[in-house]
Amino acid sequence: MIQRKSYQQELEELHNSMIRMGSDVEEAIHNAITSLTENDLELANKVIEKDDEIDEQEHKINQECILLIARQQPVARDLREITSNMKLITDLERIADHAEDIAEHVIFMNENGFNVTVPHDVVQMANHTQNMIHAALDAYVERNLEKAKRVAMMDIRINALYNKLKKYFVRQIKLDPNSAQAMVEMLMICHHLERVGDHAQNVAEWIVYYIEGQYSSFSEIRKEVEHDNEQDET
Amino acid sequence: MRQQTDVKLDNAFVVNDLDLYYGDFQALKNINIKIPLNKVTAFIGPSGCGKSTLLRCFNRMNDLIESARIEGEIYHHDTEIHGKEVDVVQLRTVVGMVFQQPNPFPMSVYDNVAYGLRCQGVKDRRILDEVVETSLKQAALWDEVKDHLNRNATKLSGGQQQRLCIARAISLTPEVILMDEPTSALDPIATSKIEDLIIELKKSYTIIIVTHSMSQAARISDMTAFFLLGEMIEYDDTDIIFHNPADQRTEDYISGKFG
Repeated sequence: MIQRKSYQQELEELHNSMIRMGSDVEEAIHNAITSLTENDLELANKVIEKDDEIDEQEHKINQECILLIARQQPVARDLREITSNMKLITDLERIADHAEDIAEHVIFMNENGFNVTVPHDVVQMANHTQNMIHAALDAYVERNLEKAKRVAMMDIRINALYNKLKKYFVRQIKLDPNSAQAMVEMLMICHHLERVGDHAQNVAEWIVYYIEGQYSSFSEIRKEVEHDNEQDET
Repeated sequence: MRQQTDVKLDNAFVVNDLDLYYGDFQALKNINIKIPLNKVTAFIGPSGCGKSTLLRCFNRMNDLIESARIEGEIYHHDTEIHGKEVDVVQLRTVVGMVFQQPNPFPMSVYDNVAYGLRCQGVKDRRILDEVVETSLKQAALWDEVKDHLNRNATKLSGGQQQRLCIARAISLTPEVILMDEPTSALDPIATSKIEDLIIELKKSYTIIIVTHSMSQAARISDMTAFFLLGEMIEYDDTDIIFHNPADQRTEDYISGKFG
């Protein structure tokens, strides 16, 4: 006989709150990137306005988790779900902060008349970052271990693009010192995207912890996925 | 008798292929478990799962039930406890027991603790005084009763009575203390005192405890075994059982999803 129905319901509600927050964070980063590529000030402002709402969601979920621990004394998978959620919301909130920062850079560049064409690699990096967040949240919703582990691999590409772009912007500044401020702005945006990738990475790691019951760091997961790929190839 | 290859000095008991029947009803099914020395091992599971039945096997309390029949082996170190050479009274001295309801004898606090030794023929007052004091101190009761040792034990509070029963068990310097839901009749404060005591006692004794309180098992035990319908479903470090159990049935039970 199924027992503790209200507890089950509270866990379900917590899961739904997490999905809502994840979806809002994904939208925030999507809008921030669109505001960059389309120079859309209205959208950039929307991202900034939305951030308070996401902060509020973080506090609310954190409180729900604390109360669940205090009142229901969860153990095993339930305990892992609640504690990993408490870690996840911190990463999600930080992703939203980076979205807000990107939006502020877009507004700053626009207000200062920096007419910069967004380099293709930045667009690529932004797309990868969005895909990574989407994949991480997908893994969370489906509680899918393989998907979570695959997210670990996606950060490699983002880091590679970031390193390539750093060199590109330095080169551009040397070629045209007048573009220095705009290039620095673009570099900062790339830095935020790179950090978003790191937080998406953390999200994936906490999903792996929730499912497997032990924490695996990014490098361990990456080695494991690479090993599995090698096995598949042979 | 089977050759003992798996009995180690760091185990208080090794149970091999144990089946227990009450008449036609099989209450325990093929139990294999090693109880480590100087640890607290908790048995958990829903009512009727066999956990108390197994607990009572360790000092052969099931011998008192006429219809009970046991197959398999229980080794206490290198002695199979059902062997002909085993003196059951001696076994119960080495393997003491504390029950759900505190059961002090209707006599003084002092006489309760001295009872076991007197039964063994000890009459020397100095020895009795020393054992009574040491046992009551170990049971964390001395400070509360030292000025009332002649008071009738039935006048003590429930929590004090249970600690007195623990002192009575300790007085015979057992190696193992079996506890069958020792706090289920106590309030939270008395329960916490007993729990603190159990953690303290494991330095000197091996403790096996049956409990219906998941949080109690999680708080005080080193090892936890989960039983269901006479089978031992899972046995592991308590940290693992309550954090990442291997069996879904264990997970569902400890999470309160059935039981």
